[in-house]
Formats: sequence, structure tokens, C-alpha cells
Amino acid sequence: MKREDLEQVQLERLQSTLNRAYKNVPFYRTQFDLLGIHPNAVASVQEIARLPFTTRKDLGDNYPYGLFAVPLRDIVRISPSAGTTVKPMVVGHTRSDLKVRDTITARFLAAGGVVDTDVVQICLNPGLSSWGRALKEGAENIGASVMPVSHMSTSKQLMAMEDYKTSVLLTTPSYAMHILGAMESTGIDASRLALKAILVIGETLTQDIRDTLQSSFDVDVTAGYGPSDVMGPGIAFECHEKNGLHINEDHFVFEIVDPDSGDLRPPGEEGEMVLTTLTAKAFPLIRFRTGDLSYTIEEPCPCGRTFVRISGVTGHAGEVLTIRGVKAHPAQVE
Amino acid sequence: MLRIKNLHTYYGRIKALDNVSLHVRAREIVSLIGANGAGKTTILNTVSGVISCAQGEIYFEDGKINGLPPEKVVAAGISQVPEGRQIFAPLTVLENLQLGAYLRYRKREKKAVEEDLEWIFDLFPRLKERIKQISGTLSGGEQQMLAIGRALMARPKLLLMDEPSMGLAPLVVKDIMSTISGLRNSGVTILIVEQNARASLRISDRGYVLETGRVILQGSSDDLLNDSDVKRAYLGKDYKTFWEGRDKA
Repeated sequence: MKREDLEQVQLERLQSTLNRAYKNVPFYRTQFDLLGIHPNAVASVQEIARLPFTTRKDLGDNYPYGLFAVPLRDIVRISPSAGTTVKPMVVGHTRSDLKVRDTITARFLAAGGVVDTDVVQICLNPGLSSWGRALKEGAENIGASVMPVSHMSTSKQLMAMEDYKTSVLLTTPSYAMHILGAMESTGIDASRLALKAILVIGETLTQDIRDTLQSSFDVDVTAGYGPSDVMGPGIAFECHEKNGLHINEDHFVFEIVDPDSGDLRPPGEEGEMVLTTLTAKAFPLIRFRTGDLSYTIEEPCPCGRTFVRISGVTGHAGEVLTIRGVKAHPAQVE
Repeated sequence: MLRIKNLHTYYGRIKALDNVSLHVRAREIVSLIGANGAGKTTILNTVSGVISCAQGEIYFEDGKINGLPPEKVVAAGISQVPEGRQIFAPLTVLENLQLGAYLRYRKREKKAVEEDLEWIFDLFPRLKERIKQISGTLSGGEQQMLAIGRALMARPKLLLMDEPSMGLAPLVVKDIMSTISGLRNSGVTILIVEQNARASLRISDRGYVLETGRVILQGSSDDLLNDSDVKRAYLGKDYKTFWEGRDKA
């Protein structure tokens, strides 16, 4: 999509999201009113910077259904997560939200080379189960043969990969390395596997890990990004250039801000990723502080996509930890 | 083709449009749905230049058209089929159609205009049968066909249709809607305002939902037809309006 057209679509979707959020979610209405800002004052996507942030604490404070923008009967999927404050968090999806999530997931998978003839195996720990479901449904929509998350031991996972001719592995970087380690210690050669691609989520894919996995398994390794607790796994996805993740800008507006002051960082400079949903009906999020640090890659990508790229997550702001892909508060880690 | 950004329009002190943005791409059919008084007609009238906006911009094929007088908007290639038909009742069917091509006579397109008359009569054979009839005596459905035909005589690139189904019998509505849908093949782009959301969305590619002057939802027609809020508000599904789980707090 040309940038100009994308910006029009973003503006329209942002304005209707703000109108819906203001009308249906008391939390947002109060926040905007306190600042004296009404959605009708937002005349461009950039002006979103005038709106207040939403934090994980706000999500916890509004447990359970306080941030839903639709009646409960419209929610078809309730996804609780442990949350990163004292209270857990609940995210909801309408049927249309799930459709959007499938579209986004499909982009991530397709960019990683997944097609309908693939056999997809999903290996994620229980903390990422809502992602496991999203990836399963996204892969099913592509038409691939999917082995959903099942909590087998690593040796059983390996057996499945070999016997069922898994061609695509969806997992976290650390688990992929763990599988590699298990293979090496049991003497299983990668040539026995039918793998062609590994797609990873949940943690930053370092170049070292990518190189190791690519050479050991002789596959392509690409990454996806999303804040695990509140959104699906494919907010941003790597293309075959493997140099930065394209944000799905027709569904999300992102900003990079200074974690302390909240001011916008100049293009290309590191800061905290702030996400605003453009198409979420059940659970619109406005300027949500993900706690993930990243920076934009300004040059156009050779792949031809006009969606802006961000680097992989370079660190975390605040006290939120990511443990094997799951976000947690230090106080919850005993 | 048409790009609207941040439109604010007032009728005196009453705000009719509150930060409305939308777009229509070439060859699309886009619906504007919403309740009576939501601001749908106001949008069309602002695009046509019949009323002016207080704030905002309207671009048509990369040229700014907000602030232009209606005749310049028509000259740019936008034609409106008004709410309630508004055909020239004392004139014949033929005269109404000829008037629709008014601007083109100046450009010496007489022959092309006559070919277009044939095109309209192909689309609406009933109009050909009644070519000399005084328009005020036509039935509602025939008047609607005449109004559409008259707008098409200007050979517009973008056709704005305001409530084409209004006051018409269900069978006639079906007919009109299917004719509108067929217009796509003639290369016309259409923005259609309708209270009959179901009929309109069925022939459209995309839609916008307006509520008290604001866009609250947009999407493909399929998405909107399946959306719970749209179903409740505009497609006649009956639901209670309070939110379970919230009221008990």
C-alpha cells in the first residue's frame, strides 16, 4: 500500500477507534476528559502524541472487564494472563478481532515462508498459550497441517519433528536452542529432519542465535514480535531480508518514546515501543506502553513493503521481565 | 479518488459532522450507513459544495475541492443523486436527462450526449417508454431511475447517491440496488448513503458507520454485515443494551 493511502486508512481507523473508546470505555473517557482532549481534536496520526498513555497497571486496575469496548456477549475469546502487577489481566476478542488476528498472524507466517503444504509444529511453554492458539489458528487458515502446542518432553518433540516430517517449527529462540542442544547430546543429525524454516517469537532473536540455528538446521529463521500479554504474536514480522521487523501499520500505530519522560524519540533512536490498536473492537488500546525497547529502521526495505521496520527488542523499560517469552513482574518471581 | 480528512460541519450552532475522515477508491462502491440525522447527507452535500465545512479537507483526484462552488465540483466529475429524487417535475423525462448533461453541451459533446441518452435508456427501458411523459407523474421507482439517469448524463467519475431506496417498495429497491451494482461495469465510482444498511452493504465493497456526526466503525461490507454492533443498530437484530458484567459492579 502506498504510504499516502496507508496514512489515510490509519487516520480513519484511529478516529473511529478513539470515538468508540471514548464512547464505550469509561477509563478512556475519564483520561481524555482530565486532559481536556476529545477524539475530534485528533486530526492526524501524529497527534496521537497528545493523548495519555495506557500502562499495564491500568489494565490490572480495570480487571476484569473494565476496558472492554463491547458488551460481554460480543466477546468470543477471553484470554487471561498472569499480568505484571498484583492483579491479573484479561484481554477479550470479538469474532472480528479474531479475524484480524488471523490476518496478522498469516502475514508473519507467510513472510517466514509458510505455505499450505507445510507441516507446522508449535512448541511454546504454557505461559504463551494464547499465542500458541493464535499461531495455530493462523497456520490453519493458511491451510497448513498444524500440530498445536502440546506439552511433550523435548525428546518427544524431536520424535514428532522427525516422524511427522515437520517442515516449520514455531517456537522461541531459547527453546529452539534447547532442541538443538538435545539433538546434539542424543546424536540426532539435523539431516533426519524435514525442517525448512523456524519462526520465533517471545524473545529477541540475536544474530548469534539466528546464525547458529540457520547453519545447524539448514533452515531460514525469521522472527515475529508482539507484547505477549495483550496482543497477538504478529504485531511486527521479519521479511526474507531478515533485517528488522515490519510493523502491521494498517492495524497498529506505533511510537518510540523516552521511557522516563514519555517524549517522542527522534527517528532511529532507541526508546520504548508504544502501541495503539486501529482495528481492535473488544479491547482497543491507546498508547499502550509495552515496556519493550526498540528503534525504527528508517530506510525503505528492499522487500518492497511500505510498512516501517523496527529493530528486535533491545531491552526492557521499567520492572517488567521477559522470562522465556512470558512477561512477569519481579515480585511474581519467587 | 476521493479523500476526506477531518471534516467538521455546522448547521448554525449545531455540529453535524465531528472530525469525519473517509476515502473512496476508483471503481469502488462505498456505503455510508447510520441512523436518521447521523450526518450522512451532510457529508454528500459538503462534497458537492452545496454546504461548506468549517474545518477539514476534501481531495478529489489529488485536487482540493472543499470550498469550490457546486458547478465546479460537477465540472470536476462528481454528480449527486439527491435525497428524495428532486427531479424537475414539470419537465419531461427527456428534458430532465438532457439537463443532466448541461455542462457538456458547452464542451460541444452533443453527439456523445446523444449516445449517453441511449446508454441511459438501455439501463432503464422504462424511461424510454415514458420519454415524453411529465416527470412529476412517474412512479417513485421511475423517478429514482430518472434521478440516477440524470446524474449519469454528466458522465461523472464519482456518483454520490443519497438514500436511493427511500420511499420505494421492497421489490423496486431490489431492482434499483442491482442497477447501481451494475453501474460499476461502466467505470463509475459510487458513494452511497443509505438508511437501508443491509441493501446498501450487500452491493458495496466497504462501508463507514456514522453516529451523531462521527465515524464509529469502518470496514469491508462483509465485516460490517457480520458486526454485532451494526447488526443490533442497523440490521434489525434485537438485543438488550446493557452490558452484563459491568452493571453489577
